[in-house]
Amino acid sequence: MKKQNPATKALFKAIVYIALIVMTISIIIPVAWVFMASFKRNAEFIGKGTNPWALPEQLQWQNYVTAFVDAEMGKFFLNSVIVTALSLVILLVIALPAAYALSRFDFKGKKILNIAFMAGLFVNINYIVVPIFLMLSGANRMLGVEFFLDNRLILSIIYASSSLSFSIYLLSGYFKTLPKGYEEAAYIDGCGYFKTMVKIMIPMARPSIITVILFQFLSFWNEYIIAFTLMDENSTLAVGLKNLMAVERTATNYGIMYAGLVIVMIPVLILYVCVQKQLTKGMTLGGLKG
Amino acid sequence: MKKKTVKRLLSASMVTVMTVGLLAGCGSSGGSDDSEGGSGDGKTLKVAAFEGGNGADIWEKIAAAFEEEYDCTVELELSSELDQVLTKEIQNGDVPDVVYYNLGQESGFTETMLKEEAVADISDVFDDELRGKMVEGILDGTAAQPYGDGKIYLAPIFYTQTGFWYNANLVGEGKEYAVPTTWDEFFALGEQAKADGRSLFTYPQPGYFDATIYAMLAQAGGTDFYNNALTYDENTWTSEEGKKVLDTIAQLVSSDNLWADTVSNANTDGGFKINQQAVIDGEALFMPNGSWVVGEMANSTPSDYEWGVMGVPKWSADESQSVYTFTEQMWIPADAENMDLAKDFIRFMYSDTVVDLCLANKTTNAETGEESDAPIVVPVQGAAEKLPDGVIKTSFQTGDDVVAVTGTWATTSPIEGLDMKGSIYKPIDSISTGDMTVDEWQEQLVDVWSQCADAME
Amino acid sequence: MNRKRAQGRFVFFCIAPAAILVTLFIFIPTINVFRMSLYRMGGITNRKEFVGLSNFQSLFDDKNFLQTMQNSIAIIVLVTLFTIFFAILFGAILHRGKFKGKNFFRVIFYIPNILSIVVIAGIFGAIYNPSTGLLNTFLRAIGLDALAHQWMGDQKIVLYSIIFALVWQAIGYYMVMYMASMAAIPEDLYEAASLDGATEIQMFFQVTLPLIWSNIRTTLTFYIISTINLSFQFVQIMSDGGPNGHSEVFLNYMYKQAYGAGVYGYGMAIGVVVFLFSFVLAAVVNKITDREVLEF
Repeated sequence: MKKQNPATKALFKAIVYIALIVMTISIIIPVAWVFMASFKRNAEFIGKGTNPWALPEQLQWQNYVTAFVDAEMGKFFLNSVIVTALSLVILLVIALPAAYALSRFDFKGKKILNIAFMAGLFVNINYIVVPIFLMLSGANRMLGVEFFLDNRLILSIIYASSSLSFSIYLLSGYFKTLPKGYEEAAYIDGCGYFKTMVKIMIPMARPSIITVILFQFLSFWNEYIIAFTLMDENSTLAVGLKNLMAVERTATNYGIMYAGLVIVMIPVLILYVCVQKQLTKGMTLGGLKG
Repeated sequence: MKKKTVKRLLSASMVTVMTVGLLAGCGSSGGSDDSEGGSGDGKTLKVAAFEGGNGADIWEKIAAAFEEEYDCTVELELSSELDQVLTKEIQNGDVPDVVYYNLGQESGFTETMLKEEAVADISDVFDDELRGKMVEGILDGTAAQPYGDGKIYLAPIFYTQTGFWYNANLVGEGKEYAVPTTWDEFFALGEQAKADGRSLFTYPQPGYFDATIYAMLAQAGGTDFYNNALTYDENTWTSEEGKKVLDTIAQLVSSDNLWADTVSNANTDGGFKINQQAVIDGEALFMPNGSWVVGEMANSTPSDYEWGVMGVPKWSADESQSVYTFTEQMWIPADAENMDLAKDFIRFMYSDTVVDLCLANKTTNAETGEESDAPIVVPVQGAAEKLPDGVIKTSFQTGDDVVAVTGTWATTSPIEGLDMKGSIYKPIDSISTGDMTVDEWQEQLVDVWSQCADAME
Repeated sequence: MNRKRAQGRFVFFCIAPAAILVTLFIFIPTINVFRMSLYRMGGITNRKEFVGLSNFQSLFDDKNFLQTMQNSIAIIVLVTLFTIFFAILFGAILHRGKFKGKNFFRVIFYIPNILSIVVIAGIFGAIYNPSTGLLNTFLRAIGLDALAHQWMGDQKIVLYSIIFALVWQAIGYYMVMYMASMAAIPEDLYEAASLDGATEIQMFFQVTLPLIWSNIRTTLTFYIISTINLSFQFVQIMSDGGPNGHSEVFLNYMYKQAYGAGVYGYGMAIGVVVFLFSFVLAAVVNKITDREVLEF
């Protein structure tokens, strides 16, 4: 066995550490900087002699109050929670059976369906959002109701639909890796198809379900283009932030702007710290298999 | 002052105007009756206003005053992204009655509405009495008559004189730098400034060159030349006058004269203010702007700072000075339900009540709660004279030898793949960094002009 | 026979809801986009005029669109290459390396991915500002003034500034994804290689890389889709395509045309081209990276 030169080994290790630390710093510093900036007064941002590295002269908590009140974050926060939770439930209830059926059964038209769901991946929500809006407002007018727009349930259904392709793709990839024997055994025990799926197969797919939840949680929570177009009074936090940014940008109140960023960032960061083990483990177990 | 971007209802009783049919077609009987003491018959008028540098307060006050004078309810919708909000609402069949949204905005919303022929003809609002009251010439240009057909579609409700704004602590009589009047003097000042480690010039965003280019075209070629340029005369940029304008701008933004950070800031969100701050901080001496800059920058202006304003320099000292008058527009969508009441609202914008409200306008610093004056001037005669003494008033004082210039590039039918503002002004960014030559810019403009001329019909 | 029919019914009920939703909210709107691309319309009111393929014809004469296309392709290619390189590098180090704090790095590297685009764009605005930005003030403080640039103002640099932000944002996500498939590689393969005298670097090329190849291939499609989308969201806030169109990307240009220039139909034609482009690109990439998959 060839022994590596200890000096080379040490050098290699040093380079590895440096690379990792540079990357870490490039992430921590900007994020920490936003926290710091959120306490600064406007005068500390523009004008002569301002130093972005300087600590805030005082803790301007007022920035947070203004951001919270102006962006109606209290109200929008609850909406965001409702919409995100509802979307995840709808997504899983619909994506799981579809992914299961597509990956573990042979039937006519399977190939076409697979291609169709794959094609859905390439449709960008940015250009179909207006047609969706027009469709919903058309439905409103046709039925003479005010139901389809500014409705949290409808928004959740659209969120779920927009990520169906990706989720089905991911889940069926995982279902494919499960051995065939489980179902055979279940059928012999007298389980029907439905029972087999719910009682046996879906629990086994838990790791990949967690992966889907964690990915989609983030994208639903941060989404603002669809929400901005379809919602009004029942808007979500990301839209509140977008509105706040628009107002404060015209007024260039940087401190308030960064405070708004922090308010939106904190719940996600806290949640991430709590579930990061699950997340990385979930990905390790349910990782994508090409 | 609280800033909200969602719908705000001023009246306690909410009337849903969306139920089509209920209110449709019931215009007030005496449509064009006397503006004093008209009657709205308890109807609801939907006013959508852009929330920009003027703040939200002013619109609440105007709406309240209108409600009092006319028997009606005003449903006021304010947003700093009004273009997006209204696009959505109009698609949804929920059309506002009156809209305050300017031409020349990045979104091009008003231009699009004009191209779609979705803006109502409001020529009858401006009867002889109102015309007589208004600042001369303000209704003549393409900013009020976008199709150039003699009909008024856009009501100029506010105006301001534009020019080069400068740091009056440094520039002025007895200061470090003398106020220039010609381009030669102006560029000579550049040499002097450079020696002191300052830059001659900066611009908030390339789009701010609109007023400057209008003024320069009029200055270079006179009124007829200017008006032909606005309607896409093919020789506009190849003529001696047009080329002179382009060459001068190129020199103005060359790296010798331009503050180095200008282009970076011009393209980032909110960065235009950093460029404006550079003038306050004495990094750069001049920039193209309008009187709104005073209120806009109040938060970060030191108390001992003074603004100055002058017309865009001339090529020779004995020419008369062209000054571009910037107007802000209000208009009525063609599908508005309460057309007559909406017209009353526009007439009301020129009443003494509104003139005084606008002059007394203040903006509030969201951080400190401090109020600062941000007067708005309605284009009726005598309004500008009522301004408090100061640089804003100075900017409105037109000397004898001044030619007022108004108008905007004429409205054409839509052209696929053409970003009008982008192709006229954005090359200035590239010229300043030396990545584009004046000849290339000229070529591009000639091309744009021929496309627009074809789409003029 | 009966069982067959029961199975058919089961499959139908499993797939129908998903198929209905995708049809209703993805395919029908997409078809509408295709339809609208054949019209000349402003997008605000209902006025429209059928113009056939004329929007597509204008598209190929549109110099701005060609520049946009160039920028977008450069972004897709470079972001993909850099992200793959760093994600695999860091992934392999954290997977095979024996040192403290592995989990810490993994947690930190994933953070950019959980932040909203608005937050990230805000952060990079603060980093790239020429006078008071974190990057230039830092470079000047350590005496490297010559390296300080107009990151967003110089049209030769601006695209790379945006690419850097995109790569920064994406590394953690793909790293964790690659680590997941690295973790599935049986340890005895490494042991065998080690007995043959392979160094860590050789093991990476002989064991790790071939075995995660199919995973990398899958992610290539994601790169195409997500870079088109994310580059739009970044550019919209960071530069709006400036200076003078040198950072313009597909969807931002589409938005400007559809909503800013009053030619909604033309904007939709751009959307159609982007859709077809990404679809074809993914298919081509899929084809040329197709090689024998090593199973373990």
